[in-house]
Amino acid sequence: MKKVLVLMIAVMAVLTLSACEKEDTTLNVWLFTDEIKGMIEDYYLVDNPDLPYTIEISITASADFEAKLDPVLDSKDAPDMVALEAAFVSKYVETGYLLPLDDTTDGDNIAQKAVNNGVMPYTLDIGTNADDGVVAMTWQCTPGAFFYRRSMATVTFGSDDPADVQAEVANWDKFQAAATDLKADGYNIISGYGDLTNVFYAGRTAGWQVDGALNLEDSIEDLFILANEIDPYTAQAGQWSDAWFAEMKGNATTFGYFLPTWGLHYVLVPNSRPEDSTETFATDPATSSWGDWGMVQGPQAYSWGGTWIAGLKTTDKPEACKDLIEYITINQEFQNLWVLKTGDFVSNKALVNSIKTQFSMEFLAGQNHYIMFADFAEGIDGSLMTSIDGTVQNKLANELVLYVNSDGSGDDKSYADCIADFKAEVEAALPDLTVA
Amino acid sequence: MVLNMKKNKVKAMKSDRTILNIQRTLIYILCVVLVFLSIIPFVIMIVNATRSNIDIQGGLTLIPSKYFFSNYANLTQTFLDKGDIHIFHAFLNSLYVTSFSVSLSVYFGAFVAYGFTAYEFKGKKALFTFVIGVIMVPTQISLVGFYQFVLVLGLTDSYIPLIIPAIATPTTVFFLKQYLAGAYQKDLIDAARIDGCGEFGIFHKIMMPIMKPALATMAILSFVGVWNNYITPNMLIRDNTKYLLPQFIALFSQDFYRTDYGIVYMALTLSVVPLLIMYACLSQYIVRGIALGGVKE
Amino acid sequence: MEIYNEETTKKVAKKINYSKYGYMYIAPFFIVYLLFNLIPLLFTFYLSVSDVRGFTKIGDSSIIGFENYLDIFKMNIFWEALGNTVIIWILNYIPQIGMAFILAKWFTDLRLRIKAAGIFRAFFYMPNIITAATVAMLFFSLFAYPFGPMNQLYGIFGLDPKDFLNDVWIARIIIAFIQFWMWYGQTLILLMAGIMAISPSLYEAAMIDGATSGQMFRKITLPLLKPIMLFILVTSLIGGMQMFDIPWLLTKGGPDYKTRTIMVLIYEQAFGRQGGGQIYNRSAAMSVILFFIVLAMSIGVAYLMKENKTKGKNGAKYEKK
Repeated sequence: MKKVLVLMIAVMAVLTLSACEKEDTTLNVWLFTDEIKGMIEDYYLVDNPDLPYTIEISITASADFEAKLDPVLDSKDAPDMVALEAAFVSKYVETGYLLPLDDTTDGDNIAQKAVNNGVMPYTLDIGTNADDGVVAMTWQCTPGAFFYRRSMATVTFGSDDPADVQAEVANWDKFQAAATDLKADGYNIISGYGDLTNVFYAGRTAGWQVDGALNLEDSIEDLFILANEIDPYTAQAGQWSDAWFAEMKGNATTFGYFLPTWGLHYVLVPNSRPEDSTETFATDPATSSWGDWGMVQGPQAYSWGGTWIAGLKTTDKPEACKDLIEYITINQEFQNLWVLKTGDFVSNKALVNSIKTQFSMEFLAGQNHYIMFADFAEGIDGSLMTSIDGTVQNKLANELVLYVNSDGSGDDKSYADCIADFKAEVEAALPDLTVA
Repeated sequence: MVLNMKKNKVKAMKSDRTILNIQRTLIYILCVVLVFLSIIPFVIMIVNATRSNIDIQGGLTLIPSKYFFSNYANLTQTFLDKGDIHIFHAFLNSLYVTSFSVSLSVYFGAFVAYGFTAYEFKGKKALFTFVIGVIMVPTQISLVGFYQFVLVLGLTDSYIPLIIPAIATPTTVFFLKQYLAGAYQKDLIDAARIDGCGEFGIFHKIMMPIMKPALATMAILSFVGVWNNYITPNMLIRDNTKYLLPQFIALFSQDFYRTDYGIVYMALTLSVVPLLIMYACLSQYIVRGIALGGVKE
Repeated sequence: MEIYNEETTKKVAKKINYSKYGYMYIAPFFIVYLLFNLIPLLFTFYLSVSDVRGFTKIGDSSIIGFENYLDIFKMNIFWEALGNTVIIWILNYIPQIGMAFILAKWFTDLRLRIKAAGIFRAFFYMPNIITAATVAMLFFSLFAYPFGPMNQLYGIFGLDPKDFLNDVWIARIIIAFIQFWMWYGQTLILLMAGIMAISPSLYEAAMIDGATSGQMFRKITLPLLKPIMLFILVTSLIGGMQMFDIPWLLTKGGPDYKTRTIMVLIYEQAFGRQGGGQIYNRSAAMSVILFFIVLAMSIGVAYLMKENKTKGKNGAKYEKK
């Protein structure tokens, strides 16, 4: 027993020591999905086989990312590089812990290169702070669209042409009218009111935080009213719930989904078919909605998600960080391969313009999603993004559920009560924010 | 007269027995209902682990279907697709942490309990009172302080802060001390000393074997405790390749992971079944351990 | 004389020697306890009066006094969370102790002679060994809206699907039920052990005096079970006030934050998901307050029980007369 124990302690000690020794020759990269892992392993390392360091990738769930990253920032446990999600990129951009990317002292101003390449300006705006300039960059651009079922459009609106359908949903009033029309034919305009929020927020005039104070615009009440009124015209499925996915299939009754670039490829396309379907595309309209989809802008230009990458000031390998960032966000050869493989939409306008004409998605009955996303991207307002978006929108969503009260259990919560509780929650969660 | 009285007595006894039988039947019925309550969630879980998502949403049944292996394949595939780990990997991580913790907790528990039993020293009573006293200190109260301390040590995302504290498990010490109060034989120890056995030799060669049944009980109980702990690992462990099983299961609390209930039930089943098997084999030790822990208090 | 003297010195030497071993044996426990329990506790107290939040590290922190505590006393959210915790604990504890008590009485009743009590008991205890995280996800799946098994059962009675976990009282009752379901088996084991530890001679004597089984239960079993009842109540209270896994994973504290327990709030403040965390100092201050609440409750319970106990004794004496 004693010997076993001594051995165990010895093993643990060795494991700890070996973990410490590796530090010097590795570039530690923290990610929250394996997307960038694929870029590094399948492209960057292939193009750069002789790096004098190894890249150590570790993945932290995005919900816990901030809680795990914040305490180690500015310490020896900090990673060299991080991937930052749209929900929290602004927070880190503003902290001053990120490595400036437009530093000209070492002659490698990759931010300028991005500008020269014609990067979508809003993506750079989001990664810029007043003191350090550009500190986070992205390879992608995530404009959103409204995807609709062509067969249902034909039944209700007499046409499945994108121009005609866009006219039916061009603003929120028309959108509500369209919901009534669709319901008359037994269709739900969207699968749940939760899909609206993100799009609606894009129509605000300023971000959630203005001069250190919470900015609650009057339009939020319109969102509550809209969500409540539209709820009976939806399939009452929560975003990301199993029912939400089920409504994308052939036999479903949901007319449309608000989804961004990645949502088309990673959410809508794979879920449009039965789970056991092994074909690239299925054609049985009873089970598969493949080819029955159309794409329009909808009532509001918006963006959803996106991943930025950044180095940390504490890194001992700033050049290595910049090299990887440059490769992922600027290298057109790589981006071209990446687009062809994944269908991802890149933020580099020059590349987008050179490749956009070649696309035609069978899934969308031949529509060129690339041209459309390129158009929609122009309408995005990057200044709306602030460092507190994740928390604020989360807390507001908690109240919206009670206001709408879909299944009618108990009483609806009034808007005034919702906002009072919302403010108390935001104040408790963000002590440095002024909540009037 | 006498005969009549006897008859009455027999009658009374008979009616007494009938009441008793009715009572007994009702108790059995209640117990069966409660047993049903204890197992039905697990039965539904296991059955649903063999059904497809569409079937699960279609209706409730207790008849297994044929999707067991496809659910398993989907579980591992979707998690790998999402950049997460294989459930088996999380299982091994949990096994690693738990086996170290349990060994340390039981070994050092015995060590300390023996120290308190076999030796006289100054402050012994006060120190033992301290050990008993800290059993009642709510552990999660110092969670934030524990985290900040681990941060200062630079040991976040490491298993060490999950394992080393097991050396000081007051409940184990207390239980083993109680056990030794009955099992400790001074004569045996003295005889060993005369034979030239060292103090630590006595502990390892003589006391450990004597304490074996109690050690086993404590090992099982602390196994369950460590294996099921969620809050501490969730607070400390970041890298998803280091996730412990409860953390892995907790991923399903996010909608993003809950898209196919066949997968959810499969993961839950895989996390529960080993525990159920262990319990089926060892339930008597567990029950005894809990009973003793409470009574001696 | 000389020999005697030698022996005493030997004895003394031996004693000193042995006490050294005593310290060596208990040292690992106290060193590790100091390191991983006492220091964190002190850290918690320090954090609660410090400015450690956000990106401020404990190494660069300073003491700001009782500001965090004053903040908390003004926070409705904190008191609501405390209320939620107490409500859910009571909803779970009363049926738990009631059910365990009745079962313990039946299972130990010599006249009833319930067969297979051990097997029943093993089944009742079983949910306790399952990971709370798994139990939470299992019940989430069972109560899923609109297609979960409970809703399918609901549908059999012709009722519309219900979002159970989105209804304040149903959600609280489900959490309380899970706690009950996981813990009444343990309470039963403890109570049975307590009852069986009572000397049978007491009952024999009472039977000779012509006491009924009800009287014996009230006059002998109950008073002698007081210590174990106290143990169960205090441990359940301490555990209940720290309830975390189930509400955190089952309802995330919702709906309307009405199942957010104090521990969930403490965790959220320090390690909150999707932003809003890293308020370590306030989280620590909440922990300290909780610490004193639990302490006060435990002492209060112990005091009340003690008072009852003396009353019980007096009663017994009176009976004897």
